[in-house]
Amino acid sequence: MRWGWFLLLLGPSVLTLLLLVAIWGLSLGQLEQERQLALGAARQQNETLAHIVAANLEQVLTRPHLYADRAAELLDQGPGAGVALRAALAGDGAYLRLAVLNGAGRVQFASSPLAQGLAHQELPPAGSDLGLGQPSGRGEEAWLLPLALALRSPAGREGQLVMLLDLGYFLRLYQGAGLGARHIGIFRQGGTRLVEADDLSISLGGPAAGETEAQLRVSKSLARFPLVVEISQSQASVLQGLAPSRQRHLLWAWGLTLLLLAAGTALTLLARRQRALYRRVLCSETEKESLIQQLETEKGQAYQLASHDHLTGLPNRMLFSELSASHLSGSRRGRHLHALVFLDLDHFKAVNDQLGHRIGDQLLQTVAQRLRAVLRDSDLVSRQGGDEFVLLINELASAEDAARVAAKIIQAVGAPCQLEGHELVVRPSLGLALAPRDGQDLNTLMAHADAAMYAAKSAGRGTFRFFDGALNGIPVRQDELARDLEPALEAGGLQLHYQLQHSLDDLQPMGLEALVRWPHPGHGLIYPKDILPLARELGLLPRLDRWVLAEVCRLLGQWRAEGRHLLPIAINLAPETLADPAFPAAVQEQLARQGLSAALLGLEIPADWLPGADPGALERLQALAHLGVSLRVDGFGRSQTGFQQLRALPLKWLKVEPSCIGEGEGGKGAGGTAGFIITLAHVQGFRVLVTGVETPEQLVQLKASGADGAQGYHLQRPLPAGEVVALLERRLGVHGRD
Amino acid sequence: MGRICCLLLAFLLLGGCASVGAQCENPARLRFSLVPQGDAGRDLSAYRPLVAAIEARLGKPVELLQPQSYGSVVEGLAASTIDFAVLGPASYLKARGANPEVQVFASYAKRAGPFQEQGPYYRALLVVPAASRHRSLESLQGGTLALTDPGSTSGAVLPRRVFPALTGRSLDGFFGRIVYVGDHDRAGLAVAAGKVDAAFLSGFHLSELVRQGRIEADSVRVLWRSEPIPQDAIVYRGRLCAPIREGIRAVFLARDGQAFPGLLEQQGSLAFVPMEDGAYRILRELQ
Repeated sequence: MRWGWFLLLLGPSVLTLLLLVAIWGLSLGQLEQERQLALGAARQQNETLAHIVAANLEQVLTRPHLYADRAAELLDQGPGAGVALRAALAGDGAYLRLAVLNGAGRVQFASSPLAQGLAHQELPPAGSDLGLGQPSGRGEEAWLLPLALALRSPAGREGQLVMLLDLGYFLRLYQGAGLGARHIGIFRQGGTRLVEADDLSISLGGPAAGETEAQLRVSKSLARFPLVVEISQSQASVLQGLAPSRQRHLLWAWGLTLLLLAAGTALTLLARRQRALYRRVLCSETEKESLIQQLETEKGQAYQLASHDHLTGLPNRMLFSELSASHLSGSRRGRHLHALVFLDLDHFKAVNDQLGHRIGDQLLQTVAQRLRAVLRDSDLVSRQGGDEFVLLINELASAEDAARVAAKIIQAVGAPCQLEGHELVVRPSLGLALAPRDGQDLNTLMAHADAAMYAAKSAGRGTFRFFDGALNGIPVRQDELARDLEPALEAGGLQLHYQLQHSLDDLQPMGLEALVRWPHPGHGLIYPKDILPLARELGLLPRLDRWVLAEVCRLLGQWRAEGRHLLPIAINLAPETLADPAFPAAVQEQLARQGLSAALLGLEIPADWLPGADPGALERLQALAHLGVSLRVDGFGRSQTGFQQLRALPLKWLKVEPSCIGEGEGGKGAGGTAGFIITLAHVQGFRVLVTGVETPEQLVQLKASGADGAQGYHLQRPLPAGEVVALLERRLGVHGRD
Repeated sequence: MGRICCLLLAFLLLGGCASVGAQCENPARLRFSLVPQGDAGRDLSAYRPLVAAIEARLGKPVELLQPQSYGSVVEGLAASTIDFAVLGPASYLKARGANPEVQVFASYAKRAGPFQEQGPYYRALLVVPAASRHRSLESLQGGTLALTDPGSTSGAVLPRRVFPALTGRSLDGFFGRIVYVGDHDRAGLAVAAGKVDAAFLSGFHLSELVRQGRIEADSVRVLWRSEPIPQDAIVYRGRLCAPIREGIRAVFLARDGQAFPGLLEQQGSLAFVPMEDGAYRILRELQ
């Protein structure tokens, strides 16, 4: 294109130039040809003229020879004999006077009295050839040219004939002869000018008139006399006749030149204008495109802003609605299922409250990343606000697949994460609604999934539920765990971790709580909140509790055997265990087997079991208390259990969670409430152990409110037995074994 | 070739019958010529009625000789090959000097013109083209000067004589180039056309050019003018027999010199007037 424009711009100029060169070349060529023709013609004319003038001059100069015979006779005769000579001279326009001089130089004959003077004036040397003198150039005889010719009379006398040639004769001859601008010069052979004549005048001798122009010269030598006739003419005068033709030619050439220049300029301007227009159009196109681009970018950004959650970058509710609508419309046609999943983080609020919104935000981002990572690209993930996420899992073959994905999500999201030095474990609760069986439009599905999510929450959190209750039996992970739990229990696949319980008086360890852990080969470490419901479902709780009892006693026995400092270890008892009439005996047996003091064993009873406990159970508790085992109520405040019921029991310790004594709300009011519960507990004769202490602030507040003991991640996370031994060695080593 | 034949014929005719006359000459035919002023042929034709009157009166043929120059007329008179003629004043003096029998008997009374006063006198003028830059003699130095004929009184003889007195230098030394144009008409035309820087010529002839409409009076500028000079001399040879001289004189001066109005008109004259040699004394004194 660039070259195209270049040619378009240059083309007219080059074309114009070529045409101009052609026009001027032809014009000037023709003019030059005409000029040469004219000069040639003039040269030829001048040559002819030179021939004529030379012939005429020769004729005039031959005349003295005609006079000579008669003049020679006069040398032998008297003066009277010259009458005929005089008469002949009178009719001769060229010669003015003549004299015949004898050998002594005296005048033998004079054509007139004036001719007498010829004897006295300077004369050219006379010979057989005519001697040519020089015009005087002065006075009345200025243009008279003396000529001399030697004479020999028939009698042998010598003398000379002297004649004066009237150059006025030449003037008359050439004046008005149409010489035009020509000059006729008569020169001696040596180059001296004798006379010059033109159409107007003659001039004598001397230098020629100043010639400033180029001259056209033609010369012709006389055959018999030493004279040269030269015709000169200025070239300008020759070419003058060509002027009109030349002017006409030049006029045409200039006319064409101007026309061509105008046309060339017009074309060039047109091309330039076209190019300018083209460029402008191009420019505006580019501008337009860039504007469109900008608009699109801005639109994209605006859309991104409007459609995405700024914190996690996930689609928001609006975009999710749009996107899911098209997927869901596909679900009506296809055979596949779509699962709409409502996901809510359990206790997220506590994270925000306790660790700050920054950590909370980071947690949400982590959750978003994990969700995105665990799902396929074709699945949709959105954040609806707060800690609520809605997912649409597409193209599922069956409800089992949906359950498997849900389990995967729970596992992925529930994995511990490190945020600014905090290890957080947040478990999600999921509610699933399947399209098209649970509904075909988004609103319906959302409502159903939401309901399912609440079901999951009330089922103990950290799990998922289908809207359709019939499907809830199929969770795969649960299946696998259920399948594996009993064998694990049998094969010793479970472990116990121990968490220290501190006295708030001196922050010294005052006991341990045994917590069951299940390192599942397929699902990682399983915690009590998963194990216990499963064990309950499977009816394994009594066996589990007995295993725990045995394990704790074995450990205590081992420690005692190793001579270590012994701390009481508490175990949690399920209501089913407490319902077993043989349990107190089993405790006694285990203690006895290891030779342990009953005081080293703590039994924690769930608070929500107490109201419905049968009288037999209470008796069994009494029996256990009687053994000397330390009984405690776990989860006080979470159930309907009041102090009145507790007073009937042989209890010393109440275990409460910070949220249950209001501490979790934070602030002074909360501290006040906590203080109130603790004070009530103390009044009733109970000691209070607060579990789940995760921040130093909580600890300070609990201590200020008079709690007796504390347990929690902040103080020490649960550790395997070996590590706890090492820890206790360090913590208690200073104080010795007392 | 024809010219040469004529010459030879003249030898044959004249050679035998030429004789030296006694006291007065009575030639069988008279020969008349005049100095060239403009178109010599036209001038001669204008004289034809007058010449015819002379032929009638004298019963002799009169031959009109076409002159080549002033000198040829002077030479003819000096050699007695011309019997009566019209001469310029200087030519008259020259001819009379060579041949004392030459006698002036009449002249013209010229009519007045832009450069001419009425009467038998005229002036020599130095004129330049009106458009030229020359306003004084001095600025003309080195220029081209046109003279008429070396024998012309106002067109060459008088200027050569008075110029040294005017400028302190000779004419030839003062001007860069001198050309001869042959007669007054050409001199006037050449100046008016700017072909030469300046020209000496007769005021009478310049006036005639204006009268004839050949130039405009304001096309030339006069830088110098001479004292009045007597008009052309009409002469005859004194050796001619008295009846012949009387006859010629009578025809010229008949009817108070106004017998040939056509000729006079052509000559720019009012009349032929009697003239004597004494009138040319002023020129003679200059020589």
